[in-house]
Amino acid sequence: MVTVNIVVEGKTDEFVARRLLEHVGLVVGTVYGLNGKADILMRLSGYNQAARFAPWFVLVDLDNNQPCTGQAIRLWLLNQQAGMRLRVAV
Amino acid sequence: MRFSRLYLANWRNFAHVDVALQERVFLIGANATGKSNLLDAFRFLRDIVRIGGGFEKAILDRGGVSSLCSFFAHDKPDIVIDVHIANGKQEVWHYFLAITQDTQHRPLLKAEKVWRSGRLLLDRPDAQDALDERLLRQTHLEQINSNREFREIADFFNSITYYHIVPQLVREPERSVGRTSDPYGSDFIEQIANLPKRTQKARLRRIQAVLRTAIPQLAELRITKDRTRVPHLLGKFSDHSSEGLWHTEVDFSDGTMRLIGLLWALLDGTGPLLLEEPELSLHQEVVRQIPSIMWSLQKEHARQILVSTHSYDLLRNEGIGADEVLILRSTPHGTEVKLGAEIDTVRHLLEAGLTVAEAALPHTRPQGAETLS
Repeated sequence: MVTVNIVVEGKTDEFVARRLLEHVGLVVGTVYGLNGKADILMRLSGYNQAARFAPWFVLVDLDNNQPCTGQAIRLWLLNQQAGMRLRVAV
Repeated sequence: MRFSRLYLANWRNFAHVDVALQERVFLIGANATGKSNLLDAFRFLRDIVRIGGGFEKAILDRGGVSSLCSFFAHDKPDIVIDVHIANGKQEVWHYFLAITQDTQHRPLLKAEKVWRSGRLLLDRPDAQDALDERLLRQTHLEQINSNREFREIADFFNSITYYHIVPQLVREPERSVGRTSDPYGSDFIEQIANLPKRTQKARLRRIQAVLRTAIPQLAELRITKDRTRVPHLLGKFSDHSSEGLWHTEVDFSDGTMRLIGLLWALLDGTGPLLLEEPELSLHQEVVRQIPSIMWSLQKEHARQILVSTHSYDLLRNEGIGADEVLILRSTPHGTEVKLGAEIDTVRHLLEAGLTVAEAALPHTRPQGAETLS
């Protein structure tokens, strides 16, 4: 069983992320974040570094004033590591 | 000297603990995971050797062997406390204590061993114990006619202090009746007042110096006695428009009282200091500075500090390393204790520049916390 650390904006997103991972047979490890999107983006580089060694799943919302999803991911996440999966809810 | 390793078996919440300890140790974990119980293992060692204490009393004060024995213990009901003690980087002492009980539930030593630099100095039960089982109701550590070769351990255990100042107890008018060295602070002001004047003033000056940032309006601290010879802590509070007003401890805020108590604890003694949640009632900016304050005062006395905390702000301090954090997590087999450095995710996040608060605190979130509200 693969364990995946998740990073989410808040409790509602945590439920969503858990269901998504469980749906594909993955186990949720430690839950990080839970303090809004700005907080996640500030630490995203650190989570990305840790994703060199273990799988991470980061889920954030795309706010109205943001560019499109692809652009946003490229902007937020430089040098995406092998274990990092950043997904943006539109 | 300091504790360099702790091994516990069947102690309260813990079926098994084996951790290395640094000069500063931060214990983090959800409620009821056993942070206080872990600290209590050190208090227990102190209670064995302190005047008026002893092995049997230390156990009975905690409700007896059955109360102390981990709920998760099955086939190995003996309680074990095993500590390594270092002087600087060099490990010097090793003390091993195994506890059981007799058929009448009285505490008994199952084993007591002492090593110095790897050489075994004491190995009980011995021939004397075999002749008289009642000898197993006392450790050799607590007996001055038996501990000559390793009295340094007894002195070290006796130097352990535990503080958890409760401001309401400090302010209570009948506070110190019948109490001495109360870790909760009921005789806190008496303890200050009973010090030699020079030491007392020097310490209060040190506290004032640190408080200058946290409570700038507090200009001076001093001890005075009222007509009934009861000592009081006086604080001179000033603002820009006045020369200042003197207030007693009754008027101090909880935060002021706790901060004074914390600083006093850091200055009082040279042995290991056990602190519980020093962040209570304090402003987050003050809390952030606690590790640095601890570090600066600790360096003067080469003193070990073990502190339990839930505080994100305290653990945001960038000077805290992965090997200084003990993470307590509940499991079906008792609370598991791991160094932050032993958990890959924590270590990797710290290497990536996150703080202990960001990297380790999420690991202490209670299971099912997402459903708490």
